[in-house]
Amino acid sequence: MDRRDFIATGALSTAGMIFFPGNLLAKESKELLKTKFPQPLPFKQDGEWKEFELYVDVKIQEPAPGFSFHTLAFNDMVPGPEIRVNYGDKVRVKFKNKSKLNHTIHWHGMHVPWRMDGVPMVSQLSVMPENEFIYEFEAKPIGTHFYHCHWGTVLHMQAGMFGSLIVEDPNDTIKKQFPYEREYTLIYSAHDVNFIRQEMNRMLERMEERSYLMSKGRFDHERWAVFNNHDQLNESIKNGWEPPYALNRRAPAGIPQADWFTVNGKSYPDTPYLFIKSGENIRVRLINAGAEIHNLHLHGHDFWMVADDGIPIPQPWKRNTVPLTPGKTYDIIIEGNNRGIWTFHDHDTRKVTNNGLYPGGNLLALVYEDLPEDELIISKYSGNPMYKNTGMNMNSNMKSMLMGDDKLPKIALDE
Amino acid sequence: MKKYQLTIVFLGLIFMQGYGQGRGEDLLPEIEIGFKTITTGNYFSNKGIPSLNIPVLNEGERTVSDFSDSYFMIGARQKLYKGWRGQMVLGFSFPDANTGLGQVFYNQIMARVENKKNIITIGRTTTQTTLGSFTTFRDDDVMQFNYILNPFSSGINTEDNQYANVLEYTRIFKNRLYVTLHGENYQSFSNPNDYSLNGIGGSIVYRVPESQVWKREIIKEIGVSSVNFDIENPNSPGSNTYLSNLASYVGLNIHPDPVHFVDFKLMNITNFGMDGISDITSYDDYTRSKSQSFFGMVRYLNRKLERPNYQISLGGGYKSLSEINGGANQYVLITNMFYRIGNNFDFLVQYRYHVNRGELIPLLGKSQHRFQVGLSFSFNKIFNNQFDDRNSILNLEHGYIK
Repeated sequence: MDRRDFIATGALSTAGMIFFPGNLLAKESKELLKTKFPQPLPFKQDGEWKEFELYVDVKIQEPAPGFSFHTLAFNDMVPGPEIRVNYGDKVRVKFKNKSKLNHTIHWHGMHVPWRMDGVPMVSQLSVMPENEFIYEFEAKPIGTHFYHCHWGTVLHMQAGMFGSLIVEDPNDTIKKQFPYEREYTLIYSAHDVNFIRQEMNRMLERMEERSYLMSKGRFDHERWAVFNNHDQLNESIKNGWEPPYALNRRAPAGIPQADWFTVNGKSYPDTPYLFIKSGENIRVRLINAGAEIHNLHLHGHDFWMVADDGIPIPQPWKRNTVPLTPGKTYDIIIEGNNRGIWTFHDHDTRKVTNNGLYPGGNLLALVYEDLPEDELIISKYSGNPMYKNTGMNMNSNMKSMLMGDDKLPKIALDE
Repeated sequence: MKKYQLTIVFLGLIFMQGYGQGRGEDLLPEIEIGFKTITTGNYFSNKGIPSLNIPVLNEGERTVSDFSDSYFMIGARQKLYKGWRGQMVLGFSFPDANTGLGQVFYNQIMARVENKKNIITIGRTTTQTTLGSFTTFRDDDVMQFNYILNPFSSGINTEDNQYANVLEYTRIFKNRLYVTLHGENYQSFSNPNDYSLNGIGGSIVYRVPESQVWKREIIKEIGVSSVNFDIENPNSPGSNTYLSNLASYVGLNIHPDPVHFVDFKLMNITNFGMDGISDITSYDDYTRSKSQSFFGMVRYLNRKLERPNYQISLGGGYKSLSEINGGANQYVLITNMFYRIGNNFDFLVQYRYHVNRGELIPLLGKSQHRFQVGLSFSFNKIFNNQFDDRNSILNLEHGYIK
């Protein structure tokens, strides 16, 4: 057995169930954990309206230690802040575009007036750089929804322009059926960071000259690649506007191939974890704001499916794996009935990688807060002789060098 | 074998594996391929009989098919530790006929490491003998005016002036100011197997990154470069002295409009010369005598649908060798047009009129009309792209990512 095989064996035997530092129950860890879930967006009450403010700008995101990429971020965070309202609230969102690209906001799953739907060139014109648009709608229906940019979604969504939108039901049937105190929002996404970088650079460069031409009143539909009707498009094609040569929106030639997978903007080992106690129910709101399917599997438990696209399921059913398709939201209830540290991850294991290296991606864990400290001792509970003195005759220094502390969990990364 | 010996062997295997990097996949670097094919039909009409043995200078009229300056390059780039990046480039070009360089000239064989503020280059590559680039068909079309000339060259090829084996260090200040120190081994006609450094110099260049061109600043580029050749002192045989040249350059955005773009570039080269050269009897005298040269070019670029459509350039240059007894100067007028006929594909037309006067006539001939029509196909593609350029708009305006 050489070094690589040796470490691989060790990683296989441990990484499947162990992910986080041993002090994860410490106060500092719990404080840090709060930053790994969508931050609530405060509002100002203006008469009957709840008024929120969103802006977008370019920001550097670090999904995992040592790796960063440029993103488009609502209010400087990925995902954007969480908008949480009650059913029937009058909602006003002032959206300011601080970036040099065009954007809109689409309220995914919400029954808004069609002019508030955020589809560029269909329900509204795009919100141009340094411009503002005010969205107004009534909060309905209830449930777990999200918002995202609907302009250039291939780039803008995977670049970070998404956030959760929760419409609470004062008579929440789910809460009545499965009483809970704590809930968590998990927003999944997938990113081709090379595509994002190249496309955003090209878009920003192009917008420099487009903005200049706009300021001079010389911008036209051919440069904009937006036509009033088919006749205008056909006329432009006759005049030399020739797809695909004129269609220069996309920087790399191909379709984006995601190489980073995030939960709430983070990849393992920076993904959040879910605290639970024995006997407790927790509600988890799952949102897929990316373009990949995530087959989410929870170890050691079956969970209740309680809402689909925000709509409560009249007769919840149990499962342990759920396919979270793009644009989908599910609410699940996890019952704390099997104490331990349990992996909750995409069972398409290509997506628990960071740029192809396992472990990474959307790997996270369900952590019981009432787990006794001594259950973390490896040599006491592990059946693997490698951890015991009966196996290889190694002194304690050597064992410490190879295994580290005699305690789980550890941070397991590729060699 | 005792147990502790086994343990040592075991540990040895563990730790030796890391040095060889022999197993498993290495990280595939970015791979860049670039080529340019420039093919022209050239018509020459020459007056005067030059002593320099270059076929295209021969008196009379002639028409040739020319594919010189076409090139192929392949490079690889990847991230190194601590924010550095490494790069290698291998490339070859096709020199003019009968230039003594063979069918193919390996003009790029170099390695480079760089981070945000530093660039170190080692190997054969483009030298610092010119600053900026002019929109002529080929880089060497007005070389006598916009390049510091290699005094070790025989003059029968232009690559001697463009490429050398270099050791180069550049420090970048505030993303725009490039300060470079360099040493070169220039190709020597009389001593072709000597690979020691025979040139040193430095340059300071202020350069607005390409991604910032639409900021509409008037100065696009400005800089000075000093190149000093370590050369035998004709007045003291056996000892060496330096032949110094100073180049200065400015590139101005006259009308930085996205549709009707106009810029102007101007270069001046001062050759401080060797003492005692008062006649032009050889190409050595031409490159080693005191001289002043100027070359300027104005360009109009028409862009359609955010891509170049056509381009028209007009340029002129003048060079005076002030110390030559009988007087010696030369001038050039050049105009050309590129018209895009497809993606990466251009139709080209260029006219150049070059006159030599005084003692330059016996060496280079009296005058030349050159008319060229041709096609150019250039292509550049990065595969497995995995990090950004220093000068991208994201890195410059939204925080540099190592």
